[in-house]
Amino acid sequence: MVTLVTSDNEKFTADKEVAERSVLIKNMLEDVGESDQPIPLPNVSSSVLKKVLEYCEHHRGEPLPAADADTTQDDTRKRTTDISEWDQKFITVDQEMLFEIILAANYLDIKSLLDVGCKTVANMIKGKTPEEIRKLFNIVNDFTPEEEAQIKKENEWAEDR
Amino acid sequence: MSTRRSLRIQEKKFIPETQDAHRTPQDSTEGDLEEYEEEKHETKPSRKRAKTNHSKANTSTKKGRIPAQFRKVRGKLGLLERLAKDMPLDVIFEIFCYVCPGDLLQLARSSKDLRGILMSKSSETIWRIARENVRDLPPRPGDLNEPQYAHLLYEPYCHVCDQKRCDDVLWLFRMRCCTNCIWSTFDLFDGEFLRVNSQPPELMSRLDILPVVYIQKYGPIVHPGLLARLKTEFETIPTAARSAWLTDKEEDRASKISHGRTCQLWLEEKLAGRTRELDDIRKQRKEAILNRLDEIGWREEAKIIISSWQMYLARNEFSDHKLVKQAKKLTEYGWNSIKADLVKKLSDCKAKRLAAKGPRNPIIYQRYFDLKEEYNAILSESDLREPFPAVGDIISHKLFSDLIWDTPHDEYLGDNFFRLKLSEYLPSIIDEWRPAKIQELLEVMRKSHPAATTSDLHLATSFFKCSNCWSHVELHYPQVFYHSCCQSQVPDGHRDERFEPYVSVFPHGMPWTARTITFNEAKSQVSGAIIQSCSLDPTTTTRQDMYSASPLIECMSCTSDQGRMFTRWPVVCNTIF
Repeated sequence: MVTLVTSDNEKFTADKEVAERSVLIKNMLEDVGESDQPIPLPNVSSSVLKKVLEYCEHHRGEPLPAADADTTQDDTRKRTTDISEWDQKFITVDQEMLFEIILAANYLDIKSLLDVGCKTVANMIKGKTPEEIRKLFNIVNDFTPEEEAQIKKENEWAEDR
Repeated sequence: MSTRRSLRIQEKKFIPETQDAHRTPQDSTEGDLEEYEEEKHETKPSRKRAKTNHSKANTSTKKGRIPAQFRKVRGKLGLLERLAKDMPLDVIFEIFCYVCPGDLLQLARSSKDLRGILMSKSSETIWRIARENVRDLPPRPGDLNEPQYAHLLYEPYCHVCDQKRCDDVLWLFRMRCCTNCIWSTFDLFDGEFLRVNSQPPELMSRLDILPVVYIQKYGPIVHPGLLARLKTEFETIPTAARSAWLTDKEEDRASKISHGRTCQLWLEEKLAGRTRELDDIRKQRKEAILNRLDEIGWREEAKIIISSWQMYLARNEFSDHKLVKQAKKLTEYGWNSIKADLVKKLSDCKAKRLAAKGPRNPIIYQRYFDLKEEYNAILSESDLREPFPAVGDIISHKLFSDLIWDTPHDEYLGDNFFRLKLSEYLPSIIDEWRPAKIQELLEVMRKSHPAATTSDLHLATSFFKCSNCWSHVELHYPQVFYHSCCQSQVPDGHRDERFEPYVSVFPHGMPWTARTITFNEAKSQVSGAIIQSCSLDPTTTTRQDMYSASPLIECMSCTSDQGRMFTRWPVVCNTIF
């Protein structure tokens, strides 16, 4: 068992197999060796860690991405936004929690969870007009109407303008 | 993913006070992104940094952080705003790689921060990955950058007025142009245009180079601006180099046209896919609304409207209602906002229906429709080796006719009701109907073979023909009972006021009749000869016997380079005719 301590000082115990779905925790455990010392996760709150552990528990035993799966491979692979039914249900949370899960997955280095989070945000963006995007995500429209009309015609790289 | 881990540790360990500080070059391990930040530091003051200072000044209170127009918005600031400001760039990169270039374009138009990220050349990788994720999308042509290509492919409005939706892409000109703008942007490339623009002839005679395309609804159009540029370029080319220049231009145009063709195919498929997608959403919405109506007891009325109109394959007052026929998923909020209007509509329809008198009452059509659906379900599971009544035989049967017409018109019977009634009445109807119809067919045969009996219908020599369709399909027993012409005639004695409304909507669902059927004497004789040649007795050999014997018959008249021509029963009967 592994003990994890969140930013709000809550302790969670999890099976090593479950906790090690996080590459960060796996590496930490490898570095410190056999120890009962709790692992501090100062960037993850208890509510988020609870969700993350739920995810890791569900996906326990599934193959982890190869450690040397580098980013060049990432660039060439075809990306689909399909999300499994369980993951879809799991990630149906409010935007704030979704954001925190993505950050936590990124910090804890749980690639599959990060992918689910990214795909979810991507699916929210798909097919929307700028106005719909702003409305959905409460983004402030900082373009003046003139700028807005202008940028529709301006499709050059910033550096080429 | 080791880079990610180190990135995150770094990210959190040195988390600065300002929100954007993690966007420092050290933070990014992506070559492109690192370069991007460095470029920004070196060349010009960062737009984001300026913003950071601004936001830093306002971080003292929560209210101060929230933009004025959202101060009254309930809940926290949107995800994407934090996404653009707080999220590490490599995560943004990940997210953006999952959307299509069209979405990137919309994102780049939603806020200055996102535009800053996406319209920087260092984000080219994001655009490339997003583009390469799009199925069957032709590669980006060399004369367009990623956002320009995305604009051409995905911006659905006229590129001139930006007002009218326009799916006509002029690929050669890299633009979309609506009908309203065409003549303010292009000239007609006709004799008059050529007379005025005849110079230089070496160029103006080259249709394979000029910026001219033929559009069916406009004719040949030329872009005067591009033509002027081409002429200027031509003038600057030394005479000796002009031939090579013309060849280059010709190849360039040909390549654009060829690329445009593949893009057009992609676009057409995309538009068709979108239509299918929207249709699916509409169907799901309609189903969701029907389920909601079921909860409040109005589903039946909606079904009555749908069924009664479905028979005409036309629009109906429910499915085509503006609140129903929307390509929008039904949400709890959405349902609550349309519920009252829909219930009002349905109650109006119900009142109108109940007030309606006579055969045109929609409830009658709806009952026909439900009964027909149930009949079809039973038919598909039935053994058809013996004659089976046509739908018209069931609907016109007194038992069902009375149910349809005499049940009070405000009562919804539903498909379950007809399923039960069919299970109850169908066996006795078949027992009564089958011998009568077999006898009717036998009477047809007896016109040629007066001594024929019921068992003779099974003979391999018993063929029928239809005088209505001139069909060459062999008609025999029991297949003749399923011949469509036999179910498309109103049989004698069926023309009454109860059956008329049914006839008007189901003209091909009539009771079975042998009115158009005659015995096919010629085919009968030929098959008799074939049966004899197989050493069998035509007077006793049944179709089943012939199938079992499955003789191989050679045609002595047909010749082929491939060898001798053989065929089998029953194809031989059709081959000879």
